[in-house]
Amino acid sequence: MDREVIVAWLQVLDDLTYYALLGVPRDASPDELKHAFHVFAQTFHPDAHTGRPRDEHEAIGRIFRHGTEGYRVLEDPALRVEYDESLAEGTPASVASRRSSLPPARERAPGPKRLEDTVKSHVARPFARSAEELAKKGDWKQAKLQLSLARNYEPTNEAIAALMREIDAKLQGLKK
Amino acid sequence: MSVVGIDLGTTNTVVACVRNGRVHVLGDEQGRRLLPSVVSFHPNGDILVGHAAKARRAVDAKNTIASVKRLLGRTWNSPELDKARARFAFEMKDGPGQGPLIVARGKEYTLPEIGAFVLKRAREIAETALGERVERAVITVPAHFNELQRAATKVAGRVAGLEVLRILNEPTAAALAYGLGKGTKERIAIYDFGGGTFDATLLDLNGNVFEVLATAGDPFLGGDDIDDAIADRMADAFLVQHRFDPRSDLQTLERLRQAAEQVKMTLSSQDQAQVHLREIAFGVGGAHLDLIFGLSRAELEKMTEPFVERSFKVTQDALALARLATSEFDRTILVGGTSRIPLVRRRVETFFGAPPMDRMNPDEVVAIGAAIQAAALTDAARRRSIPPPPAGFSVPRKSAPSFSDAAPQSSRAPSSQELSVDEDIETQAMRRDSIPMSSHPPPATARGTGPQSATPQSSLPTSTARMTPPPPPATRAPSPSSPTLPRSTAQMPGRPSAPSSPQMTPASRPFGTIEEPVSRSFTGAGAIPGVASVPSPIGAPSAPEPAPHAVPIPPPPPPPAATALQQFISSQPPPQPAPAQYLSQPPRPPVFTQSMPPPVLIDVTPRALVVETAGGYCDTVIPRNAKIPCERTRIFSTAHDGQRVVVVRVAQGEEGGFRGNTYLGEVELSGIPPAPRGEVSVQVTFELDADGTLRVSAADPTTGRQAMALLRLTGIAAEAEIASMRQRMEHSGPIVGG
Repeated sequence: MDREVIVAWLQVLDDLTYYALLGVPRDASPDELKHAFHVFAQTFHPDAHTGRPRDEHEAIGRIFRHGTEGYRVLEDPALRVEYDESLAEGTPASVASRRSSLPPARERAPGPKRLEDTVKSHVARPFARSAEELAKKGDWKQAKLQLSLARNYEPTNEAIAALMREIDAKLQGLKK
Repeated sequence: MSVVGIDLGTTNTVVACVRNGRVHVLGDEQGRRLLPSVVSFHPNGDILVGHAAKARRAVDAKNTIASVKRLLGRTWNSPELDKARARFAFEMKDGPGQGPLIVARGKEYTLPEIGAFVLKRAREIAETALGERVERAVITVPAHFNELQRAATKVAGRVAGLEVLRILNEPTAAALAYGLGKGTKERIAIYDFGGGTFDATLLDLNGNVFEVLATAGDPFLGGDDIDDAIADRMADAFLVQHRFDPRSDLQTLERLRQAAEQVKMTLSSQDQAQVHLREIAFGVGGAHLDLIFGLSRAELEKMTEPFVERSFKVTQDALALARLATSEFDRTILVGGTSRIPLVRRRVETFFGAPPMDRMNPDEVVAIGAAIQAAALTDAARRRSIPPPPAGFSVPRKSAPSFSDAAPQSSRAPSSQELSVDEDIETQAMRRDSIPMSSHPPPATARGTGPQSATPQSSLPTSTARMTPPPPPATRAPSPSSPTLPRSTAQMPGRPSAPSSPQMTPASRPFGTIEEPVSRSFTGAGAIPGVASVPSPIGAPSAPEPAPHAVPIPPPPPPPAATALQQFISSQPPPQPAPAQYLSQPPRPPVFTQSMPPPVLIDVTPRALVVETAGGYCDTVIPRNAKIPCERTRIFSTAHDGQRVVVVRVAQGEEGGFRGNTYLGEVELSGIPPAPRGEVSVQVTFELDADGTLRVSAADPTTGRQAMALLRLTGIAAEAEIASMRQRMEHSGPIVGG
């Protein structure tokens, strides 16, 4: 019996507004909101369901986690205004809370390892990157300059040292 | 088999247990309820824990380990380890991947192992007192503990042979001990000044609901610091007198610290204290030089003042987070031995404008709360009924979810073709190389995939669940000004006519069908655990006014939890003929009564959880002070054209630069279809459970590929290592208490 109800909750979970989820009117006062959240917590806190099978317990946890997020948004006056606006625009609630587009996560490119990836220091990494790019273009002098900057931060980096030897050899060759 | 609550403190450890609805703080064979958190390795091979080990500090500081809690979950390069190396006489070295090692009598121990010795002794004390096996426990930690420290504490518990049911925040435990069974509505400030750490936690208590509003802490502020200040003054006095600095010898310094602690404690009840330490050094002709040192309370207060001041800075921080003023609190609770200092009490009273609660033993209140939580979590019958979801109050969505969509991802058994749960990054990386992309089936979690793509569910057949007709499709949410906007009050029609069957009522009923806590609160017994008092009569004068609530929550049917609780209480084993003198005297009043459901704790995460972004910066996924359990998703994109793999590196803290925060670990998502940079989006989801344990997953919404992992925390032992530590612990010979 309960299981069906849990499934029904999961099916509508992403579609419910935070107001509906917590069971408060749109103009609920902070006190009403808090009270509703406490009632919600009594029903859905995973600790109140320790006797359930694992999958049901996790499903209830998921409902509760939506509730804490909803409470966080509605509890904060600024976030609540933002949320109300997104509702008025018809933006799905779940997207409204995560719409900000973020800078890219640091990646580790596959294939041949890049010099940059061997560099631990965040400061040195851009230098290593440009050194490698410049070396590829054959601009050995500039590459050496960039690389020595990188080496200042990581004097023990073997990959930097290796590239440095390579560049030095090229520069020697150019002189000749 | 009993479950216990353990307060693993910097200075002392306390173990408590709920028996027949009452909390008992368990004492050792001699009735002592504080177990010093000290481990000493004796030359004869014995491992001493507790009082005997503490006594060894003064004579064998090199092989006596105290304050291990300060070090748990810290890395070799952390400032805390630097401090410890300067401060303690025992030897430490950098371990291979599992954090620092402690070297004593030629053997190496990990920090969780040292913690485990203390926990094992606590477990033995409990087993002797209760007369039965103890295999499960709730262990408390300071609220400001980060993920690594929590994980290390959990490892310590497991090495000691305990299943750790929950890592619970100490101030929250204290609130539980104070508030459960009162049934009141109060705003509480917990001022937790312990031996090594300080925490300020603010909560709302509402019947059986404990909502943490904010917490702030200082990991470097504790009673030890006051001891050090006194010891410094002693050393200065000796130096002036005899031109010898006792600090030059760590063993002597350890003696000074112990004497300093005594002086400090004496001055909590007296105005003057004096110590006489013999043979601190040897003078001309081998004459021994003694240290005679006196201190007045006024002088001590002057020395203590800066530390107390810092504690209020932290408290202010918590207040700011909660956007509250000191005047808005009904109660202040003091926790931790340092809160016994009269100056601290006075300052707390001035700060909050009311005298703090002083009826509870600040040393024991945390263990009592832990025991209550342990009992509540092991109540096997806990299954609150869930009312149907509200219908028709939703935001628009593209497609209706299927059951497989709705099913929690983590309940799926990991198939061999999936990037699976709970695996090391290395394994994942290996899989990425060995399995061709095309062999991955469309993941079950992708929107719109049918249930058949779901991997087998655990125990229940999904078909049963799928038979349930889904609620009406979601309708578009009207704008706030629209007259068609359904008010939530409309969702709350009458209560079910048959109160005895609250589960299955017409689908329009909201969930608010559980017993409303405030109205019940007046019938709740005013029992305060930890205080030997008779439950207060119904309608005690301290009862507050009911909560203002315009939302008409229907009057509830009898709470299912109360029944569950009855079962819980009756399911407890009959009282064993335990040696009564080991149980705390006098027995405390019942914490669980039949009219009072078990507690619901809504705690917060003390630090933000962040993801590294390009350029060494970071973005917050879960902010500081977020209520847990919680879950948040953020969308990131790739940094390079044609990037196939993203690495989600996770840290904890509020610094803008990634490296300024505590690095936790990483999750990798591979098989991203090649696309220009910025065009691919990667959904990163953080899921924090009630322990504060983090699960991180990354998904590519276009392909549905998913990488999911419990972060393999840096410096935290892997399963195999825990198992071998546990083996070592079992063969380490007897632990000598005494």
